[in-house]
Amino acid sequence: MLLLGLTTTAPLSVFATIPLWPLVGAVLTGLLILTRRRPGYAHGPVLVGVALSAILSVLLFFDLRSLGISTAAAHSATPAGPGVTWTLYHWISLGHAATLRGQWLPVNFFFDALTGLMLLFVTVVSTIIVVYSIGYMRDHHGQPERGYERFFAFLGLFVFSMATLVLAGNFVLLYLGWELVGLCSYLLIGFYYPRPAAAAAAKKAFIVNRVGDLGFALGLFSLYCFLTAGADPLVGPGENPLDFATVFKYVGRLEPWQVTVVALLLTCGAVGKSAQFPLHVWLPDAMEGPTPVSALIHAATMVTAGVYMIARCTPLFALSPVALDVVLTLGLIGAVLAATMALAQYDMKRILAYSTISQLAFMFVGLGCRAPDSAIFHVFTHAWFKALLFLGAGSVMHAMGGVIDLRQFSGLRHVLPHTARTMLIGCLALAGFPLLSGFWSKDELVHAAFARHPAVGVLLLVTAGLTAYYTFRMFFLCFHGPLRVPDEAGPHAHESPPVMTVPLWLLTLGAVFAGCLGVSVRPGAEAFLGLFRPHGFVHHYLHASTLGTPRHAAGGLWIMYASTLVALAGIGLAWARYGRAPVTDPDARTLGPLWRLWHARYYFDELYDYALVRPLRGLGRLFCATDNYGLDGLLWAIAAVPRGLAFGLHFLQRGALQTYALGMVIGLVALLLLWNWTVA
Amino acid sequence: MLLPCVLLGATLFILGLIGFVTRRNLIIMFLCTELMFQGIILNVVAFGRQPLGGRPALDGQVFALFLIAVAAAEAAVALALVVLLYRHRDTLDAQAYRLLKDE
Repeated sequence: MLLLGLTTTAPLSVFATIPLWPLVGAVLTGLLILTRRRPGYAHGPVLVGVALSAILSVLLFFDLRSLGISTAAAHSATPAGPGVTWTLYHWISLGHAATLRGQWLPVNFFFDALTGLMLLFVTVVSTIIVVYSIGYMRDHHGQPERGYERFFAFLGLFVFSMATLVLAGNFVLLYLGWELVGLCSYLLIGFYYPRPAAAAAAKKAFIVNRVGDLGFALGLFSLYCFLTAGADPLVGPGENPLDFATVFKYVGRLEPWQVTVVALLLTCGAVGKSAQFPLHVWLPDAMEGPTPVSALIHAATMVTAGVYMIARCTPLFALSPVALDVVLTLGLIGAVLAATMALAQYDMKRILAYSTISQLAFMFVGLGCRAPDSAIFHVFTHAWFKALLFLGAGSVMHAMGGVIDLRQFSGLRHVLPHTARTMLIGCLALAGFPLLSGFWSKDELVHAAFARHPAVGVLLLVTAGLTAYYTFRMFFLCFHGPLRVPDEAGPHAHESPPVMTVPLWLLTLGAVFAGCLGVSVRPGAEAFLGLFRPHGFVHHYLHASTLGTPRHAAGGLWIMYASTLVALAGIGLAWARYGRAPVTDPDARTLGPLWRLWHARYYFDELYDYALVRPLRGLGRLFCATDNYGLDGLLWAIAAVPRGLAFGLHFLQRGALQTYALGMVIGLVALLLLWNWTVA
Repeated sequence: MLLPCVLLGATLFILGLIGFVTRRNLIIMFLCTELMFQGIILNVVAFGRQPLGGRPALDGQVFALFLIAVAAAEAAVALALVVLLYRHRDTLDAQAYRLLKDE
């Protein structure tokens, strides 16, 4: 794939500015808000900033070799792989313990193939989404929506946070990016904050993430303790105990239980950020934000962070079979649960949200099966077609006047030709239609699962079939059947402007061709369709990273044909049942109570409400009452003493000069008498 | 010789005090304070001439001079205040000025 021969001689310091440009754009846009005018060009600084970092990321992707990061270096002795660390400045003093004297935790960036691949799709997909938002965040007269500048400032901040997260060279900076991403998601999900549902969804996303982040923070604390504890700590002088390079160097010398504790706590963080079971509840509610935000969260900047973090910590996780099994199990549960929940939804964006949870769960399964490179490959391909699907759903929503309920419209392929075509390709990619990007990456995960255990593989195949089915159920309900349009759309529902459709087509290119990075074309009997071999370029590329060189499961070609069959069967079944976009849902009739259970999302929200939210709210009320009545009452009682005294005495304040003088005389006489009496 | 002087001073002071508390006119009240001042000055001079222990010194007389100066300054301020009060309300009855009464 290095046919382009794009190599520059730019030093690392140039690539280290990748997070800087979106931040500069966000700040400039923020300054525009201060001018109190509402310029329609407010997207400019952010667009330029994100595009700059995208260009730099593309250069970085092709340039790793000239930076000394290559598969050749992967086989060298350094346990952190062939990564290069670039330090920006000293950040936090590590205190005065004897072994850490004068040590600083730096802000440093870690460059390896994993960084390169992640940055590539994060920044490029973000750029496309920013372009799309220029059209989406306007009303039908082309006037910017309220909060237009704020929206773009947050987008820039979001891309900055994610780039920081991906580039971080130590766990503390990773955590900083991790929290910044959470903050940006809160700000953007709650973008329409006057709407109570949006405000609640933003809070929910933030709080649920907080649960996971607590685990992540504890993981970092315990890692730090394990590495620096004792009279003879593992970390030698001059090494920063939370740098990736240091951690991966010494992780093999930790006790197995210590590795497992750290890995499990890190998994907790990843589960929160990547919206995995049991912390998946925030992601479907995050649909309250504007649709480009959903695309950003699902494809590029947020939920991929959990998978990235576990993949980054592969040297650590590889030493803990228990943690890997936990990741695998959570992934399997999440994949099946999310796929079944997606079967019974009507909100297009919610269906896509559940499909994201399901696909992320696939990646978790891949991570749990010791195939982190395949998981990262799926992250990469998933970003393109999921961004495409969300932006397509946004285009539908734009045309339908904000309505996204599949029961309200159908047959939209007549009015939204570009959206329908691009969505079809996105759906095919998500369903795992052969030769599209989703097919290649999903197939690798299924391979890895079969190598782990046949049952895991079968479960993944079944889920893949469900994915194909619910994806096309959504597609047919939306675009097929007779043309029906809700009243909100107005009399002339029309296709979105080019500023929105061109990004859709660009993402379509990604959805079709992103998979090519993982495939090598060499004819032979043992290749898929006699031509395509999986585990291509992207895997060789990823060897130059902390992922190391994983073993590749030789599962046999039959798996690829099986997953082809499963995908086609899912699509076919969806065509048979939903091809004419029936008004009454056939599944709801056939499946009955099971369908209602799925429609109610397994009552997870209600369960959490009763088990956690209400007791905690009761506890809060108790504390509030203690404060309001207990503490405040005590203070009121103390204050009542002088108040009562004053009430008794205030009659004496008459304002008459001579009364006061008389009082003074009486007091003087009394004092004199007292003095006379005590002294004499 | 000390006792009569002290008694005279005390009488002057008490006369001033009674006048200050009983009379209503602000000017009279002001004069009463002057009377109290004079009683005290007389005491100071008397004790200066014949202290209760030790030899007589000039301290008392110096102190008396300071007191007279302070009294003069105070008289200037007080009379100015009285004039202002009269202009303000056309009365010099002390009962009329009770603005600091707690309602």
